[in-house]
Amino acid sequence: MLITEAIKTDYKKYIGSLIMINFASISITRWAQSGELFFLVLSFRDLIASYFFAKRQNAEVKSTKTMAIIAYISSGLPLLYFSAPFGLEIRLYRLIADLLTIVGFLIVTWATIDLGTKLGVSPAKRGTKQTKGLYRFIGHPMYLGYGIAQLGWIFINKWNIYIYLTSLVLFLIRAKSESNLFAKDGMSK
Amino acid sequence: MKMTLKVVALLLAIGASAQTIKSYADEIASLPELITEQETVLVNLLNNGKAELREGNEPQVVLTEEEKKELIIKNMVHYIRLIEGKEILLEELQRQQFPDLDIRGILEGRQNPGI
Repeated sequence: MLITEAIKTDYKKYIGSLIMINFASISITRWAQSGELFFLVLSFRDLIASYFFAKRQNAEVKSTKTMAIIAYISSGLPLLYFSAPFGLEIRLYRLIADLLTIVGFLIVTWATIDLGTKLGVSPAKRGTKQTKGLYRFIGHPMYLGYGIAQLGWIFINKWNIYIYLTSLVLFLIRAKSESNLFAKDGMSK
Repeated sequence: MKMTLKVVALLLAIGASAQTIKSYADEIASLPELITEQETVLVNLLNNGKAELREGNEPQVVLTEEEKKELIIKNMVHYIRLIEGKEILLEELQRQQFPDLDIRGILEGRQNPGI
């Protein structure tokens, strides 16, 4: 994949930061309405992401527009998950799905904290490769977290398996692209 | 700073998990009572044809046939939700067979309309 682009002013980080603040607001509202702590986990993560987006390091190397599109599609894909047929959920499956979502988003939050100012949606090289925190043990903990969080949707509606598999494939593509960015940059030095 | 944020996230996740498990346990614990209550409502609806909607000194509400049907169906669906009979309901709807109906009676009725 083509991976080089001239360094430009990163105005998109402020857009990303605003979007995350909006998501956090929605989550806090949902928490206030329902009392469910999960929304507080979500809003906490969104606020952290908002902060790191605003402070984000400039990208030294970016991926192609195609890769960026894939990344944004991957980010928005969870919105397509189906609810239980006719709204009839099985309680145990709902419990399993909720717990998987909480665990998954905890991992995502930790990964966001570890990534810090290197955070981004589309693959890019921002400084050195992160190797601390969760990144010491797993190459792409954020995708692992999302994968765990979304797994519960299969319990809610069996047809979600296709969306889930698509999501996993897109995560793999993004992870490969990110790894390639660092590998090729390392070889060029 | 990062460690503090991680600890806060972990505490929130533990709290959310505990809350989720407790909600589930409470729901399961109250299920038998809820099912019994719903069965009572359904039996009343099917037997009396009137909803026991009055509270205190309010007069009993008399329903039309359409309102009665709607109320029965809604309460049946709620009952099926409670007993988690979703799969069986969907299978029955897809199969479109009604083994408990008196098919013979229906067919005989069509042959002998009684005119």
